[in-house]
Amino acid sequence: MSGLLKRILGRDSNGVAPQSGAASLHVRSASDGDVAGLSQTAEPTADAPRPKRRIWGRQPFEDVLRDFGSFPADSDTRPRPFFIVGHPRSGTNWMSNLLNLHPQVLCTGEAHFQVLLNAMPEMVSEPHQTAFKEPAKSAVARSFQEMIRATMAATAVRKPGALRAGDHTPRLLRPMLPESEHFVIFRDGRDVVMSMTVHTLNNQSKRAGHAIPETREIFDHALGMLTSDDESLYRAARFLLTHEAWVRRFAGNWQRHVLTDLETIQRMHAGEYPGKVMSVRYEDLHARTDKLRCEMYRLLGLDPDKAAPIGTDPRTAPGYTENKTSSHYRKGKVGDWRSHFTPPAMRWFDAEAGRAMLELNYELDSAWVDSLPAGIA
Amino acid sequence: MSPIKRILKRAIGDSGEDSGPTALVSADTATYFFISGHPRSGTNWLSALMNLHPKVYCHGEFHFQVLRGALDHFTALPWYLAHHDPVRSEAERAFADLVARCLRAQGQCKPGATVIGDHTPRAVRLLIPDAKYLVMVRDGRDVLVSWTYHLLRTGRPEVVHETVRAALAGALTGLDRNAPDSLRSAADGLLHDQAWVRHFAQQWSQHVSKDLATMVEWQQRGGPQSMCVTYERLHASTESERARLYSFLGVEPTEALTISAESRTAPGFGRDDPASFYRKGEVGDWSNHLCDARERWFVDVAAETMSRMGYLKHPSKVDTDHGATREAVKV
Repeated sequence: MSGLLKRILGRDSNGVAPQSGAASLHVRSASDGDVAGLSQTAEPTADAPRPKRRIWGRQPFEDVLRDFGSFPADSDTRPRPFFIVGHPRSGTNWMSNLLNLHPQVLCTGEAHFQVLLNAMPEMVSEPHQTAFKEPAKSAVARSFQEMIRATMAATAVRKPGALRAGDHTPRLLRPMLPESEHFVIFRDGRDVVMSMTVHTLNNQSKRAGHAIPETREIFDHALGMLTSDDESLYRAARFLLTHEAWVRRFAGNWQRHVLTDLETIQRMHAGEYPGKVMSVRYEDLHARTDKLRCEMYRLLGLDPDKAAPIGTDPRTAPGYTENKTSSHYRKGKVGDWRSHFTPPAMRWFDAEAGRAMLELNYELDSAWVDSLPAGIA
Repeated sequence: MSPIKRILKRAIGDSGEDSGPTALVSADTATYFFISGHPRSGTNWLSALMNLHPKVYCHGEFHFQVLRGALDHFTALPWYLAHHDPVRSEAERAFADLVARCLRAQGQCKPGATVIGDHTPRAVRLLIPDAKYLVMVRDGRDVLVSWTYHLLRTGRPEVVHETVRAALAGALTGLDRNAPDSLRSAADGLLHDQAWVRHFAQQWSQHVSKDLATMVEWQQRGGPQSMCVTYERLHASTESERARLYSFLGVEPTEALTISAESRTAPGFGRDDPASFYRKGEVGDWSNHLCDARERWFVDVAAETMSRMGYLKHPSKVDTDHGATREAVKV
């Protein structure tokens, strides 16, 4: 194993693929040290250039927030926020369901704070703007953080006794509140591409299907393949996965997302951003659900013994028993891609996302591309 | 600090960076107002006039409308948490609180000020429900001329729409932005460009129409309080207009300092300096730049809005009562 993940995971990952049961949980707080007892080195290396994270060519607002450090919250009695993030279709919903088993947690929806965060550079980046300098700049930063705290606290009113209010927007990791915990969930990009494909078809989302000109025609064709028969969805998905532009686009998006998140985690570990971050692979959560959810409760400062058992809510057990193609909770299966990827799709995927696969320790090299999938060939 | 900035800060009672900020204005005593309008409509001048009052502080451009727009998106989609109450109303409350906190933080620069404002030249938007809103409107032809000079002086083609970006970039080529004659020549070239004139006529017309519609909607639903201020009327009757505005903001007009050229609160700047942010400040200056044919390009696009605002007459005969506007918006 090499690269970003190695620096983040440290000694616990040993370059073993997740199927063999290697732990890929990595938890660390800039202030608390290694929560999970994992060590890591944060020195940047020449082979790992930092992804560009400039928004509209301006300083990301989390950098502005970081510059000001921690502003105290207005009220200590409100439920405190935490965040679950990850690429779409990576298990953010499942993770939130697991945390909701705890009576002191409410994590029910997607706030999409990045919408607000993306707007902020436009208020502080130009010299003619009042908030470009003090005293307004710190007032903007402080007020923005308070806005997030207040909004998140309002989500928790539906669960009396909730001490923690969570957001599970599938998005990039972007630290906004220095006192908050961030859970980052990664999932094998091949399963993500498969799940994204089915999801896009299920929602008949032309915004996603037509995002680039090369996929417009094939997506419309795939939509035309859908019938009332559940299996038609998989036929349409497999049809899309035989097209290079489709696979490359979703694979490339996944890699960019993963590398950016790994970079941010690294920066948080290095103390560049305040806050706690814990990342977990979907596959590890699948294999050791109880152990990992207890670690998540503990990171939130909660007693794991108070949580209800897995299965109390049917959508908390690994995988979904519904297996309805039309459901948001479709399958939840690890390695489902093997039934749907063709050899060309594997090559296209590897070309676009191979680096992230190595960084996340899903593969040790590109040799997997030469092995035929168990399903179709 | 430059001498002119010292004079301006002294004129508005701003303790500024020399003495450092004082205690934060109390949330219990502070009231808020916003000056908005199309860029180059006199929002700076209006804020300077308001700052002549010891209890009023209006400094700078926060551009809250950027976050306001993001908040609209944040609450728009059904699967977003803030689309539904109570999260939605709490997000709105928190946004208004953010705006108020920022204004109070800025307000500490002027001890004694309790009426705190922002003068971002943008479309009027609801920022704080119980705040007061001053909407500045200026003859679009004068705005066009002033905006053209401003864009040339600041030299940033990326800030204009792509349909006119190449024209501005071309005008900036070889331009000496410190040389008045070079600026005048470049401005004349742009004002000869039909696409340029029509584009900004459209932009101005849409901006003013939207502002008027917003004010009408607010009046119909009983708030927030807004007032339309025209540049021309403020120019012609500065004292009575500013007294009306102080009263609108809830402060005593007689407590305000006198207007002066030194504090840039007197109407017009008594000069023609294309290289300055404060270029001319003249009513009807457009007639020195737009011949009949070029003016027609503008009027073709913006006639309806100009008519509503009473601008279709020669500016020297502008109807300062703005009957058409008064009909739509009780100014």
